[in-house]
Amino acid sequence: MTDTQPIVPGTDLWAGHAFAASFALTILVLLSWLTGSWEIWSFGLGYVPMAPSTALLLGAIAAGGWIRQRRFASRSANQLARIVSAGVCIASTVVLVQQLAGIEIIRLVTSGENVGNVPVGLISPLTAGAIALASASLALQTFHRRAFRSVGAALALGVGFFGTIVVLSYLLEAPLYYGGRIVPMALSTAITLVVLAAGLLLASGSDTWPLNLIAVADHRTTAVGLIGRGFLALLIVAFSLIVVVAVTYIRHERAETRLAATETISAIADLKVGLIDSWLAERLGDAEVFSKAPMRDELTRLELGTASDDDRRDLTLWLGAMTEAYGYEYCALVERDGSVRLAVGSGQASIDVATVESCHAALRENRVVARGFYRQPATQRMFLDLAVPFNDDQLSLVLLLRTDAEKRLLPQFSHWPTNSRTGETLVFTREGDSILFMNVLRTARDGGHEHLRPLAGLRGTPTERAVNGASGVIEAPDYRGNPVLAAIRPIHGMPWFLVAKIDRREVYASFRRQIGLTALAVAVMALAVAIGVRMLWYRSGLVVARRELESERQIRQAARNFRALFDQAAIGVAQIEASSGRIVAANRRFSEIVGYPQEEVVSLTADAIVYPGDRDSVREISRRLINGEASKLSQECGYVRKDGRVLVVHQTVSPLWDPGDEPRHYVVVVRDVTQEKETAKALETRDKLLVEVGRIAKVGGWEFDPVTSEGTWTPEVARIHDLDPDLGTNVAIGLSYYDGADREAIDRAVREAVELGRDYDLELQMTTATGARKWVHTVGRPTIENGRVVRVSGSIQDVTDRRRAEDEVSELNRELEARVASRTAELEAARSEQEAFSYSVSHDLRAPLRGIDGWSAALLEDCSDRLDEKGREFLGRVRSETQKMGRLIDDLLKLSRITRQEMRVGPVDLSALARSIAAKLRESDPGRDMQFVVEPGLVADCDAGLMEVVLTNLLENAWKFTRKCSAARVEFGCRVEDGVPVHFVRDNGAGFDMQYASRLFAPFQRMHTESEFPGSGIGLATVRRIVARHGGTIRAESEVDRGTTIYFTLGGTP
Amino acid sequence: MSHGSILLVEDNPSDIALTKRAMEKNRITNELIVMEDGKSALDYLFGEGEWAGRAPSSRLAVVLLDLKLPKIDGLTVLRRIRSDPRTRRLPVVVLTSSVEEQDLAASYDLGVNSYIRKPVDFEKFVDAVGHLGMYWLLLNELPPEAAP
Repeated sequence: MTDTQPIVPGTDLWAGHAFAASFALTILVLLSWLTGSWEIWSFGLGYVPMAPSTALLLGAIAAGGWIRQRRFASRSANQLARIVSAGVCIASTVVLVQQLAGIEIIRLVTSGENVGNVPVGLISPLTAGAIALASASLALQTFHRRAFRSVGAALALGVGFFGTIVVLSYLLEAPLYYGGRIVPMALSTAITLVVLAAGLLLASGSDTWPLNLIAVADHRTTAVGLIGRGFLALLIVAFSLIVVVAVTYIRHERAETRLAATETISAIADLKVGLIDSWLAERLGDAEVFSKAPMRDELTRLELGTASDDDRRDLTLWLGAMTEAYGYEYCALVERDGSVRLAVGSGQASIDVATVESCHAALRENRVVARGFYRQPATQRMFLDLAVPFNDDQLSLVLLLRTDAEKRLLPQFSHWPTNSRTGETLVFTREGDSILFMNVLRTARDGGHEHLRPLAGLRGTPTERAVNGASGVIEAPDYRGNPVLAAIRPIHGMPWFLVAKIDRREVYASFRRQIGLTALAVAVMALAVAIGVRMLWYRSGLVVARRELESERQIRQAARNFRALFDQAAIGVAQIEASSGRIVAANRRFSEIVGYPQEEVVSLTADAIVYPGDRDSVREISRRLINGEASKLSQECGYVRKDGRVLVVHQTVSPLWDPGDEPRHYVVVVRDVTQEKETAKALETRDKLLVEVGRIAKVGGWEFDPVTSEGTWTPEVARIHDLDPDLGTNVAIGLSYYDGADREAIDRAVREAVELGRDYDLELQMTTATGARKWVHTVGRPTIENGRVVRVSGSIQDVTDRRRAEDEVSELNRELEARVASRTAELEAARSEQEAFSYSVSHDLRAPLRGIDGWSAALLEDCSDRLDEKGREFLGRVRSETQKMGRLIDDLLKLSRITRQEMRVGPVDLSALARSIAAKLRESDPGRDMQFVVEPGLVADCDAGLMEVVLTNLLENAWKFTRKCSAARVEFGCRVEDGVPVHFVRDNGAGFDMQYASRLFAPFQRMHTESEFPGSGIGLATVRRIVARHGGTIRAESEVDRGTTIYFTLGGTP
Repeated sequence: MSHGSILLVEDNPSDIALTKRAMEKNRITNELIVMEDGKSALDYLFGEGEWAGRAPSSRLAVVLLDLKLPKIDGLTVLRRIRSDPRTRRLPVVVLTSSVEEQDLAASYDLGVNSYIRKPVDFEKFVDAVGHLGMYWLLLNELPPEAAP
């Protein structure tokens, strides 16, 4: 719902034109009435003109609409239109009601004349209804509510449609309601109504329902408007096609109908004429028979006046018989002078001059002469007289036979052979200025039974045309004024004519129904097309709208992007109005620089920001820009922030020019260079510091260009060379202070740096400008760009002091090395001694043991008879102790060998190793119930041989200490503690008291008695040594009778 | 049983006696020639010095060689035996107390035929000697006489 009234562009103008045109039409009509020339509106076709009342009402509506359209915004114009339309509506409604109800409320002026049978100047009830609707439409449109205007537009559409149909009916020469009881609508009225309705429709606003079909809701954009126009054209073409097809169809139908009706009416006319012809021929034939003069003698006597009474009676009888037999009204025997000798029949035996003439002619030409048909003034009846001469030269009597045509002939053809309400046959002749009808006109409006009608009143009718020589089939209004289709036929041998006619209304009755149906079909099709086109349009409008939405979105996006760019720029940007110096736009960075919130910046002037001392120079910049000295100028100036802090900024000002005008705005791009200034200052300070540090550290920096060999140095480089820092330098100068091998080394290093891009780092001795010998550490780094050495830079440091210290250190090192060597030699000697000791132990200590054992055995064998039981027992103990000592020695040797043995470390499958050892143990005592659990896949980097010793010892121990267990279980596995794999061997055997755990891994330490579990106490010491050699650790956890777990690592500390 | 003699190179009289006893216990009746140092052993083998002119025909079945010997040690003796064409094919068994790896390795490197460690336990020693005799005197076929 909207309270405004949108107008399709151009339509308001066209609406105005339409109102003006209809108004002009009504004025023309009124003028014609005033001047009495209304007949021009019948278009020479006998159509009714627009009634003056119609013209007044329509003119009022048109004027109201026009004023409203011209003064659209005017409230008073709107009011006026509303009042006028309301008045017209009431008046036309009253007229309509009185027309329909047949009562007279308003006296309607008519001209008193008729066109056909239509009273001229009387408003048609159809027109009154249409005017009522049109005025209602205008009245509704004066309200701005869309619903009202929609109804108004719909009414206008209906009026226009009705008017169009009426106009079409005129164009098809089948005007509606002609010949009926209802006064038809005039063509001029219909045209004016169509134009007026178009104006009303266009004026109702594009958002109203009917107009909305051809307009789009959103016609603001050109593309939609263009497409709209395209669719409008399509709609018009489609409508035109439909109308053309409909008109063509209707015309064809009309032609067909007319052809059929023409044929019918022609046939009927021919039939009637044939009837009359044959009737006349019959009459003449009868007359020929009479002319044979059957009663010749009597007739002669009658002529001669010698007839007897008998003769007269016989003749009278003969005539009477004929009269009866042939239906004559009157038979007479007439003399040449017209006197009647003998007559039979009704008393109207007047024989006028014309009849006498006929008798003369009959005698003269000796043939039957007809006089007819004629009207006897006395009786007002139609007669046919036949003058029959007798076939005898002697006789000059004429037999006059008179037939009442009305009575004898008329019944024969007055019957209409088809089923028609309006079919009528007229037989007539001209009689002076009048037409004499044989038959009484059936539907004469005056209801009279006159046979005679003045010719003037029948102007244009088929009757009048017939007497003027026309024949064939014509369409014309008949004596009643009704348009008829008439066939004109002359009657042979007589100045009479026959017209067979039928009302056009009846002829085209079926056709009119077809018009109605066609109009309905056209309306439905038009509506369907309109809806279809509207839907297409709507859809394309959607597409366009979507596209436009998209492009609008893109534009908005671009604007957003630009805005973001502007806002997010890391550099301050502001737009300043030239006239006022006010900032009109500023980005975020700008507001950050000046320290004002963005919304406050926009109200500032440039002067408020610029440091007071710099304002003149800023103005100078503006002046130069206005003078066109440059398109942009930059300067450094001070800004005062909101918090009062003064910044140094670098600002670039460029004017925004309008062509041929002074700049309206400046764009100022601002960079806060306060930091840079501070940085520059800091750099300077740092530079000084660097020089100072260089001086203290005796480090100088230099660089040179390999192409020119020219270079720069820091002052410290000069000082190291004992040169003046202010002098320039180059490569040659730099190299000239070295000599001998040092010179060669530095020459080569520099050459390689320049040619091969190789770094160098040398410590060399030089002789300075003052002849001092110095050690320097010189480092060179070439910079390579595009595969070419572009610069060599480096440092040089006086390292004389360090060098001296180093010399001292290396002297000390040498001494130390000598000391270490001597110690090593001592150690080596000690180790050799140990080797020798081991060797002696293995070889020399075992020999006597073997001797003791051997000889003890010999004693037992050879001298047992001389030894008592006790002696043998003692010898046995000697032997067992000896053997035990042998084992001890072997174990000790093994332990020492493990310490000395070279390690070969590689990945060892510990799981496989443990399994093979376990298998060996099982073999050694298959009877034992023992469960070995070995975790699979344990691989470690270690010495395979030593690990075999470790696992053998541990598993043997476990095997040994579980001997007394019923369900012995030994487990070898690995777990991770602190990221280090910890291997373990766990048994559920005897265990030991943890209180002695510290002694567990020392040699010869035993936890159990020899008798309980035999052993040397070397095994775990050996294991610990091997583990230690692998860089690992070992520990035990045990509980008496619950078992022992030995944990060890191979490298790494858990 | 072969009739070749057995040369025992051993400086420890106790060991010599025990070896003899072990041989007796194993009923090894072959002639046992004992040399108490390396020098005399080599002299005996090559007919030099004290043993100059010794009939080279007296064939040796096996040499039992201790490694730790006075004057010339066992490994040197072995090297000399193996480097001389006359004794190159002579079966030599090292019979010693040492189980030092280097001794074992050196002995095998020099081409010893067997390396037996003398056990402390006399019964085991007797067994070892018995096995030696069984092997070298009974089972082993001597090489053909070396060319002089």
